[in-house]
Amino acid sequence: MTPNTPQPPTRSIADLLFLPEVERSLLNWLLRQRSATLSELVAYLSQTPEAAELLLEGLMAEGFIKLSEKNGELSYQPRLITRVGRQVPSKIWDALEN
Amino acid sequence: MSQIISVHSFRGGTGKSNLTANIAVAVASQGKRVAIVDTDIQSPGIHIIFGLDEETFSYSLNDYLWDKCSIEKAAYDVTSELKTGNGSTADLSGTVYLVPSSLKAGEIAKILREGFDVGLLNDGFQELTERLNLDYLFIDTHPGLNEETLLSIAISDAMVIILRPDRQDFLGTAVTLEVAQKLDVPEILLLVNKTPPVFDRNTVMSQVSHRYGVPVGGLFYENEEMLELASSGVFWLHHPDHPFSQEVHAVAKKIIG
Repeated sequence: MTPNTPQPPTRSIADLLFLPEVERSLLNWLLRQRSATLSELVAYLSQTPEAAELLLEGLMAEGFIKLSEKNGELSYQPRLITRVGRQVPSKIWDALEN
Repeated sequence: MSQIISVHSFRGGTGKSNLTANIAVAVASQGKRVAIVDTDIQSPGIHIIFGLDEETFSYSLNDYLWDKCSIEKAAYDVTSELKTGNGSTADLSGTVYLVPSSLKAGEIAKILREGFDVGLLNDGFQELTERLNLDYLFIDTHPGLNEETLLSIAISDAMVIILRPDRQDFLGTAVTLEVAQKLDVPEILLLVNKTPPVFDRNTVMSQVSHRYGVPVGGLFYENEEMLELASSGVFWLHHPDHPFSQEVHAVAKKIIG
């Protein structure tokens, strides 16, 4: 990715609840699988590879999934990774941690 | 095929951790390999029921999330810690593991302050299931909704929702059910806990089931023996013939199917 390419937004799992049904169901399924190849996703979606790729590209652009390579095989994985830290004055945290 | 079962309640104080411990051990008593993960990072405590304290464990779920250890290093075989009412070790045909969360104020504060990679939790659940060859993984969740709870619900094969016969619990349970249905949880079971003895069992079960359109898997009455035990053990091992214990076994059988 070049420096000028816009980074997809960081998503929390709560964002998944606001997706349309098809995308949400796909992500629910992918979370349970942990990762899936394009052919596995096409089989799950019962769509053409072109239609499935379009859907996956949209979810990647929105930051919900990522494409990874393992042993020469590409697979899609959920990218719902963040539990953001709480915003509390640092002196309170420091007092608790020490 | 292993099953992931998340146990949740929308509000605190429903007896979630006690019921999780009792049901998980009842499942293990049927010869199953069971683990419980305490994802209630903000207010952990289920390890107390199993006789673990901060001095007896070196690693917790917090350490795994901070990449200080593998998930199975934070899993403790507590089978031999399970005691009956007369203090002898319980004779279980299965095995119970527990992954505790830290009860140290500084470590709870650190995880709240810094956040963590929720994806690691998902990996941890799967790794634990595979490496310990588990039949069932129970996830004791934090009440209400947060990221780790949502993840636990999303990856569950079944979800147990605990509520009291109380109007606030009824409203909160509706929220939890809506979320569980949006996350495509395949199987949902409601358990009514802390029911006052004056309430009729069949009436309450029928009302709850009708209200949500979801089966009620069990109903537990408030009882003095539970208060006296005060989370110092697994109730049904101490009171095997108590109606509460019989209900625990009935729920465990439904889970095993």
